[in-house]
Amino acid sequence: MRQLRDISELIGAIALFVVMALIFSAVIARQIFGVIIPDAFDFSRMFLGVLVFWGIASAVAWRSLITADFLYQALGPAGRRVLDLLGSLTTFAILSLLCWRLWLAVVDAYGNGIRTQDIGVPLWPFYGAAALAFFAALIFAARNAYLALTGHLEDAE
Amino acid sequence: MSGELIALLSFGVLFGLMLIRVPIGIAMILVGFGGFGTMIAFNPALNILGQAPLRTATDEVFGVIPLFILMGTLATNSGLSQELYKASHAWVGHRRGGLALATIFASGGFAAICGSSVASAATLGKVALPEMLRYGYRPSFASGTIASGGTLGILIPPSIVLAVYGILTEQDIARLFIAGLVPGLLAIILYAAVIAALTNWKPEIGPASGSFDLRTAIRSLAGIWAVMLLFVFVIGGIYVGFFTPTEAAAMGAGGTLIIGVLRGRLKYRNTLQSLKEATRLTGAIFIIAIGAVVFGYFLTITRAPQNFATFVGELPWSPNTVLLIIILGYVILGMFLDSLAIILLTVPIMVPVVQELGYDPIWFGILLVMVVEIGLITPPYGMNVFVLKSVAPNLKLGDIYRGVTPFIAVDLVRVALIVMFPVIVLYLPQSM
Repeated sequence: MRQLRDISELIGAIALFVVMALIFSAVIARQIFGVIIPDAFDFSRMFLGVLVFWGIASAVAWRSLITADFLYQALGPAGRRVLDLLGSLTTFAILSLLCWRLWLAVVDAYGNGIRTQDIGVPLWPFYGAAALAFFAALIFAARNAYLALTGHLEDAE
Repeated sequence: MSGELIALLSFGVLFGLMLIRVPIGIAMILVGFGGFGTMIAFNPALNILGQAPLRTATDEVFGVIPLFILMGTLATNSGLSQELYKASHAWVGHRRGGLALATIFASGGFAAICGSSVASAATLGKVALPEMLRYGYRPSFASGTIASGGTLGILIPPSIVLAVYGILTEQDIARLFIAGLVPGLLAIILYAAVIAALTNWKPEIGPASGSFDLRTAIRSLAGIWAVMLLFVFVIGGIYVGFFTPTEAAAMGAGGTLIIGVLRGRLKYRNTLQSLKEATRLTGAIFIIAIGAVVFGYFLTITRAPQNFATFVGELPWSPNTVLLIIILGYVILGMFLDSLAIILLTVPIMVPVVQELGYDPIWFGILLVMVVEIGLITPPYGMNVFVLKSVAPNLKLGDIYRGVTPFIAVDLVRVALIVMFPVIVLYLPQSM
């Protein structure tokens, strides 16, 4: 599980670096050399998507999704366990729906042959990478729900 | 059942879900999906679930968020906050309350390259707190200064919260950033005034430390050229229209990386760490952004925002009275919820109201950020207070809250000034 979490973060980190490098280079090329990098805009958007979805998977893995904790902090261990379980199960349910719908979007993009504007690179692999991230997030959410059920969520790394 | 009633109920369910600690973004997706499905049909609601995440995550405008987050994590990991603190320390540290002043100036400087309040409080907590305690500063005063100084992060540009507000309200992010400059400087001046007044009144809470050495002070400026260069490059570039905000964010992150590498501060390991931290935080923010989009689809079909704006506009109260109620509501919300979540959740409802009352949305954005930043240091859920507590576990929460109280008072004065004199906010953006 730790390996999957590390991989999730690494993919997100690489995608973020690529987004930064692409936009940085595109600005330099445009402002200094008067050159437009083909598809820089589309690629930066697609890598942004990859970053966001793997970022969501990492946030689920680290349990760093933003929550309102005022009731949680007022409760004892048993109450916290119940809230942990409710939160994890709801997250799992919603991520399942999102994962399913995102896979359909990948199939759509593949079937319709959606491509980048300038050099015509197919977009479905980017969508696929994003959908895979939601699948990873789903695994992390299931693990969180299991740990909450067994009362080990707070001690888990 | 009317659209307004359904919207009202949905807010109730949403707050209920948040109360039982369902992550805020997940709760928004659930309520938005359920509400849309109930009012229209579940098939189109499922289509929204397929489209909203992809559209949000691949929207170039949203790219401003991860890139400014990255700029902040790179700046933090390359030790720029320490250099800012050292320089401020060298110039004002010898005065009574000088280390507290140095903390505020360093927080302001760090805010100029990092758009996160929590990051500001965490990094300066590690640098400034041990120093202040070493020189005999009262823990409540020292911690209150750091927690309050951290709030500057979301006001002084670049600000992630302001960027999100701009995206949601379709306001020019560049103008919003520029609008945050003068209120940010005003905050620094007022915080410095609080420190001066408190240490005049009770000198023992912040004794003078060391003596002033002009040569050391001048030498210390060599450490902060990078911050000044990055700020002028990024915000200046936005101001003169050289880059879009997303491009400015990429240039800022790239510039921070290059400077960090050239100065030997960023190696492979802490660069990767910065990228990973930014990735995680991006995920945590975007799930709320996706939730806001799904919830927004639902709110649109209820027509609640427009009808609520019309309803408030027809109330027999003056716009200032309504504004006061709105501000109070935000202060209370800020005590319980994350600032970004508050903005994502309420802005679609409140901005039409504010516009109906005749207020400028850019001015309101700055006011809103100032009000929710108060929530970062107020009990029971002052995020910066908790961050400081995690940096220094020996501190008592009660001491930190006691320490921030004078700063909260001056924050309220600042809010009043912005309401009375909107030109403080609007002068610079109107000159663009």
